[in-house]
Amino acid sequence: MNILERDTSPKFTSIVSIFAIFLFLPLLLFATYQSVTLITRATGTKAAILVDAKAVLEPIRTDFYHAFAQGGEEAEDMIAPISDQVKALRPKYIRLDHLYDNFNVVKKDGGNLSFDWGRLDQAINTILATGAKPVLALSYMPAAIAKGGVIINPPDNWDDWATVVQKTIEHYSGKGEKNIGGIYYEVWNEPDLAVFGSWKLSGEKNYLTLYKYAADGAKRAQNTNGFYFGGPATTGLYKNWILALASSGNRIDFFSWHSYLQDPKQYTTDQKNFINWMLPYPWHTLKPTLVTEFGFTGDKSTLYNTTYAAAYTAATIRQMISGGASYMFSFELKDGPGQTNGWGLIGHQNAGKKPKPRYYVYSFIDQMVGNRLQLTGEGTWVTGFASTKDKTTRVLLVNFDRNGSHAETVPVKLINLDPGMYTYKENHLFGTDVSTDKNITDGIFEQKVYMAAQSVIVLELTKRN
Amino acid sequence: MSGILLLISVPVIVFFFSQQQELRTKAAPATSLSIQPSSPSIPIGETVICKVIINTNGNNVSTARISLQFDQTKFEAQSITNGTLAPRILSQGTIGVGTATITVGAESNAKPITGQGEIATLRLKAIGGSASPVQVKFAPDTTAADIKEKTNVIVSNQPASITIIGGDQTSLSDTSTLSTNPTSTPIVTPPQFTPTPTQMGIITPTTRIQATPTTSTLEAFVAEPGTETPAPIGGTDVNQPAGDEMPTSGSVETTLLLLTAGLLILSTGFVSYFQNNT
Repeated sequence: MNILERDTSPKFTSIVSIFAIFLFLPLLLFATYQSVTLITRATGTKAAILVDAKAVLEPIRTDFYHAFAQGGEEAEDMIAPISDQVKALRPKYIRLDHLYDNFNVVKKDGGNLSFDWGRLDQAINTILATGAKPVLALSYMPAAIAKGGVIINPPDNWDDWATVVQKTIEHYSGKGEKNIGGIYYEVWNEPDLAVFGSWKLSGEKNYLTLYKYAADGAKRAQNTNGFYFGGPATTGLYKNWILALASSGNRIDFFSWHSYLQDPKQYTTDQKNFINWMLPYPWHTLKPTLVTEFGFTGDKSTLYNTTYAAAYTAATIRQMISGGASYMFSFELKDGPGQTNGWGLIGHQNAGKKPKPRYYVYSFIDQMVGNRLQLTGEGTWVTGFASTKDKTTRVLLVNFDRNGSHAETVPVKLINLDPGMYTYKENHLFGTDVSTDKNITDGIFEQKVYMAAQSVIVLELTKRN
Repeated sequence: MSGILLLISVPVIVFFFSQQQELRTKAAPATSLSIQPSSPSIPIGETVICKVIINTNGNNVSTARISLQFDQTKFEAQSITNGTLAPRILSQGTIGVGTATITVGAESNAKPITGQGEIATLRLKAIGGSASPVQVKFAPDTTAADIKEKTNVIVSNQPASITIIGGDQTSLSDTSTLSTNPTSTPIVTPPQFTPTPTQMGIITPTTRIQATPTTSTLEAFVAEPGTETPAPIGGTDVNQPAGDEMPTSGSVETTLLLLTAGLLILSTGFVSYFQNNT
């Protein structure tokens, strides 16, 4: 028996043994998890892209991703300092929330409500100046009418909430006031989230009640241009929320939700699920669907500063290019002050208003306008779509790896091309473009394309005569 | 007086019931689907274009989910898209092994799909020969929704049979038909849409969302620390040039070391524990 065994009591040994078990068991589990992660990262299918230049499908929409949301990190017009950069994005819609708290719109004196639109008007004017129309998330409960003055509470009097919504719509859509047509009014923002009130589908904080009275207000609005009214703007696509709203009997012109999904392919699944849920409500299936915030994570992340975010956005747009949502709103246009890991496409003006890689994705994808072509052979990491317009065939490829730094050499083959001389270009979102001439005699063009990690590229083949 | 009331009420009642009957007539399921191939026979390696034709027969169709099936050893689907009568794609076309699905829609509720025409197009490549024509047919979940009806309005569908020339001429699987004149398949009981009862209760978001920071008086708001990532995972920082080399995607040595150390210590702990307690 050695000195340790002789001088150490059995009880002490037992205690140390148990301590060692509890200390190292989590490490063992963590190591096992890491091993599984390593193994799964290594598996996947490489792409082998095949495009049939004669298999022409439906027209491609290049407007649905020109939609952006701005959070309310500052109680002011956050877009004004970056309006030129936003205008260059050619936005169709820009969404704002925090309308009533950040912009001090509503006051109540005695029993009378009064409205001061001045500060909110400035923000809306900035949106209009960029060429976009506003999407207004009717939020949050004005302190003047909220229970206890808490803006995520229901109002003391539901009719006051209806009046607030009525006056908002009459001011912005009213023909005698701001006279804006085609505004989307979204009831609340992320009502299911605790910080925005943890609304439910029953009980005292019933979202359906909130929606009903907002719809009543919309109904009372007079002398307005056409507008859209909908919701539920939840943190994700939730079947019970969608069906509850669909069967509520209230006015619904569109359905909205947020999507912070790690896997871009989940967006396709969401769209399919939504349509399948709506089939028993066929009068709803054709209504617009708005993903009024989307990104790879709802947390702030330094990855938003990198090509990771750009590749993710391109991969998501690819998933939505056919049968996708009516509009996808990238969150958000600008970082909040002092953020180094913000969601913004553009840094805060205090940090130089610098565009991040994701900023450049939208205009880059615009070159794909035309009719979609049949493309097969997508892989786990490399996905894409093809288009044809006039004499040019284009193939957009995105290499997005959510778990690591996967790079890949992708064989690309185009078939059924008309024989002749072509100009071949590789347009890299981040990198050097290349161009060369090709003589195609057999109708087939083949190229091996190296795609670095988190990269986006458009291959372009233009017939010269 | 009663005579006057009778005089007024009769036309009113007749008008009311005629409206009801008119609604019932128009909303009753009456839609049929069929598949028209571009050619009744094709050689192996060639592509056939199959048009899905709808005849609404008075229905006002807003949405149609088209699910097609075919012998995966004979055909490989290349693409599926919408047709001219269904201008909107509501759910992306999906190609599987022996299947192809797409959900298409009318332009709007004010302009539903009516009449006869093409609502979807499937491109199939012949990959295996067959002595008998190969069938392309509708799957059971093929549905069409009338604007005002919750029920599936499809009452019949007609598959297509295509002869594949060349290759292995062995007989087909039991999904094929020997008939050169495909017969329509009547659907006796159209699948019903059953609205799913809404689940009331606590909603638990599946995605953890970082609240939007604000300076307003949100009493319940507590700022949560953002996720700090020491280094971009595969992403390229804007200030660093992108490299061409393949970076390592995980530290294998550290993982194996941790695993081995953990196993050793665990075993030591167990051995000591049982030695001292037996």
